Amino acid sequence: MPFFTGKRILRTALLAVIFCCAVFTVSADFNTTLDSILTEDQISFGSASFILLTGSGALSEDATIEEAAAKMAEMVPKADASADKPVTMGMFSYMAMKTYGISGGIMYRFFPGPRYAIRELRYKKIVQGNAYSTMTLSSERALRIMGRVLDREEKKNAEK
Amino acid sequence: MRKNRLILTTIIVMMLLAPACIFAINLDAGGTFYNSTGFVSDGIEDQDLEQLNTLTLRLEAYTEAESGANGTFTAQGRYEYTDERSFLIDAEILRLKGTFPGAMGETSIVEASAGRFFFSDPTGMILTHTADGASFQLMYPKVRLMAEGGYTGLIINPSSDIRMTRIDLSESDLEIEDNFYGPKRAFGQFGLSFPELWWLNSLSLFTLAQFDMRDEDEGAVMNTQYLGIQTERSYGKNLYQDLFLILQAGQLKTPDLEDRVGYGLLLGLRLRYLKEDFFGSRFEFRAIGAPPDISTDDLSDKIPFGVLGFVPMNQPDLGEAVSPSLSGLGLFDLNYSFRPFYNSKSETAAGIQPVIGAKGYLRTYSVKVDWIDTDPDSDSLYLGTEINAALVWRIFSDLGIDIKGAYFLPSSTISEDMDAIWALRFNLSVSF
Repeated sequence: MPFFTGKRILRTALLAVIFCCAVFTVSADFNTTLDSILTEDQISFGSASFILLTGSGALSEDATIEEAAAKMAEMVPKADASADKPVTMGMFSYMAMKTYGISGGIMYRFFPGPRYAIRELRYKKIVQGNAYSTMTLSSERALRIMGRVLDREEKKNAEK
Repeated sequence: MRKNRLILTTIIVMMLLAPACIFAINLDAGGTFYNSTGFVSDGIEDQDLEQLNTLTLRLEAYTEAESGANGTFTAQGRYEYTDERSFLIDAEILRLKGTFPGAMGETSIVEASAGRFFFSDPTGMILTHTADGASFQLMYPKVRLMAEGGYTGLIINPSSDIRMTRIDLSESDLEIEDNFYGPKRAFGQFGLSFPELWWLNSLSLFTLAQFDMRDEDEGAVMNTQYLGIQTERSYGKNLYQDLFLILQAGQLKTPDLEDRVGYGLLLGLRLRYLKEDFFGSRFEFRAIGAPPDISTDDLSDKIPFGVLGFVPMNQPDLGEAVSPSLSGLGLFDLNYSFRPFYNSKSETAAGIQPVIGAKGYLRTYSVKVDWIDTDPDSDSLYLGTEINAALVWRIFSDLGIDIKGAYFLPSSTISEDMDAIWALRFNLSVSF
């Protein structure tokens, strides 16, 4: 098996970004959790919450996936907060916008939710390729999207 | 007329619903409301308030196989209201598209589309129009092949902008019931493009042929063929250059008159200098030239075809206050836009973009052009300058406004009978 597989590169990139942003030491538990997330063909609500919240620094890396899901459910009331349930592309976009405080368009301001969240992230080129609100997404794609969110946050912080 | 519209609407609705049911895996629906309000003075009639309201509704159904192959069905309808016409309902897109990665080799992507959708040649100077037809693209990293064909005779007339001959123009008269559909023309296009070839960013070779499907007995019938090359190149990270050359041949068959053969040529250059770190600045220079057809025996002939050379299938939008035809045209266009709040933390403020520009229009032969009145005694080639300014503001991702103004400064070549030519428009667009 080649050393530089897609998952390995994504994991390394994500670890590096999180490390730089949060200046935390990556724990062994975090590595294990991330490994298990990367095996998911369809990312679950708990896993999506975990990567978004730990990436933003809103949740400690020692937290469990269930804890992440519970915290996300408080932030995103519309979500089906069952940790194991696959999350849709629209819901993941909505969760990302809520977690990182990304502002939306006029329709999003009136009707915040997955439908307009995915449109906003498509407009900002954070979500790329074929993307529909009801589509499920793999953990790899979720991490790629999150990588662009973190990249955008980094650029914004650099401008301040 | 009403019966025709009812039948057309029924067909559109059925076509909208049927594939949506089949592909109802991932659905997206939305729309855009667009308003354009403005004063326009064309130099002939008094200034007039023009208003256009458009409501566009879009439905998209998407499905994907495990192999990565995917299919998309897109339907887009438009409801339009203007002062001149109470309403217009039209199907802009009814497209079934399949994408097949790896279908013809590991690195290949095949894209096939059928239905009603937007067609364009690589330069956008011959054809930029909706048509009913099919398209096939085979893409490899080093080469892309494109073949497509379409028919314009089912596009309803106010939406059809296919105007090549005087008969095409006469068919745009909506007072005549027979003019429900636009000109019946079929076209085929074949293209090859090479990304990252030698020092170029891309090289495209293409050929397009259009055929007048009307009977010769009905009036003049015109067929044209085009052969083109386009290159794209960048100099450093800020300067981009596009260059194209199109050769055209055409045959005009008129009842009771001898058949005519004409030739045309269109040459274009576009330079863009992008300096994003200096208030998002963008400079753009464009030059287009279409010389007259020197093979024509009688250059004093007032018929555009065969004298003024290049004839596209539909005229591209080149001016704001004036609407020049490409035939026999020389154009120099300089534009500058910037974002005064480019580095602002507020995305709303960063979306403000003033634009200023000027266009110089020439005729490439001292024959009467068909888009503005000229002094018959003048031999001068220079026609005038259009200065334009705009304030474009993308307030949110789904809400944008702009105010555009343009004023045409005529040269001495323009007939003194013409009044001032100017336009001032306010546009609003909301997506939902």
